[in-house]
Amino acid sequence: MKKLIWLLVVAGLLLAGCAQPSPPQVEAPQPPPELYDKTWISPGKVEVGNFYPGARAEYSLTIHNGKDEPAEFSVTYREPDNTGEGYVRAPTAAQEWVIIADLAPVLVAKETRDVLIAVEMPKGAQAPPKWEFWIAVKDVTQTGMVQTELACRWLVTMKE
Amino acid sequence: MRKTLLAILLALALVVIPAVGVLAAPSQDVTITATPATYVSISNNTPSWTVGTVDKNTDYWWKGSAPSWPLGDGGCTATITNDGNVTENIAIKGANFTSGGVGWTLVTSTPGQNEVRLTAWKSLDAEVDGINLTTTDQSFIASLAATGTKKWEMRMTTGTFTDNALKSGAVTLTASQTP
Repeated sequence: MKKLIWLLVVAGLLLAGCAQPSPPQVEAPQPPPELYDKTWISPGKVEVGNFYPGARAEYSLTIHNGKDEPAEFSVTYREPDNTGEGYVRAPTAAQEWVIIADLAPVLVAKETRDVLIAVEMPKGAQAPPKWEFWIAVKDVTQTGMVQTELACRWLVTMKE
Repeated sequence: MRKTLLAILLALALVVIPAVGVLAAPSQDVTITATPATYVSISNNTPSWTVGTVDKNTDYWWKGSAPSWPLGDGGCTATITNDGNVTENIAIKGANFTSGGVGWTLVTSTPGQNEVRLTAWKSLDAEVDGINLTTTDQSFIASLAATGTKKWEMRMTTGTFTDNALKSGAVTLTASQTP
């Protein structure tokens, strides 16, 4: 009986020591009120470090429909037309590595929604030490000759 | 005694095995960094341009007439506003004109048959600074500060055409956070 109690105490201590701490609860920041009537994305930039073939990184892109009516958005991979200092355009194959959870979300008026973006580099694939791609978000219900699009930069640094 | 020892070892194994993944995590995991409270947003106050009936080999200005140079705010039709809270770069691209008849191809040189050229300027540009739009993005405005505005203007140059069907073109302005 004593041994059983001793065993339970040891197991309990081990479990307590190995338990992963729960992640801190971080409340999502609220956008400034003046952005309520604007269509926006957040964040503007995602930096991935220590990346390597076979690794996966993901981050949610937040989209807000500032219009008073529903809007369908296209969420697409795109090559950057300019890059951060020290970064080069992503290799052509990179568009196959990027997974967009919802390519055509429809947001009701004033809705804010997260769309998960993941980059999953296959084992054996090659990439420059620092490369960049963009995720473009466009309200495809826009009318008129001139339309706007928003882009989130993804800056990837490979593990040395 | 052997049974108790076995039970202890089994218990230890059950406790330690799930913990191995935690203990053996690589020292250099993939890191992801982003500033959540950064918002990218732009607006363009004049989305439309209805040109009407056009002649061949002719320039048409969004404003209605050719401006003086360098381009002043008064010579511009539209205003781009950075509605976000970060400095933004703005890129611009066009698209081939679609039609119920024969479409027009966007070109950067003098337009020929069923071709069209679109050129964009921003305020303070000289005439030579105009960007002939292509179907791929070109840098248009660099480092537009949060809440900042920039006025801009466009010109359409027609070539010759083989039908009188309605044509429509498209221009896309893309905002990204300045590196």
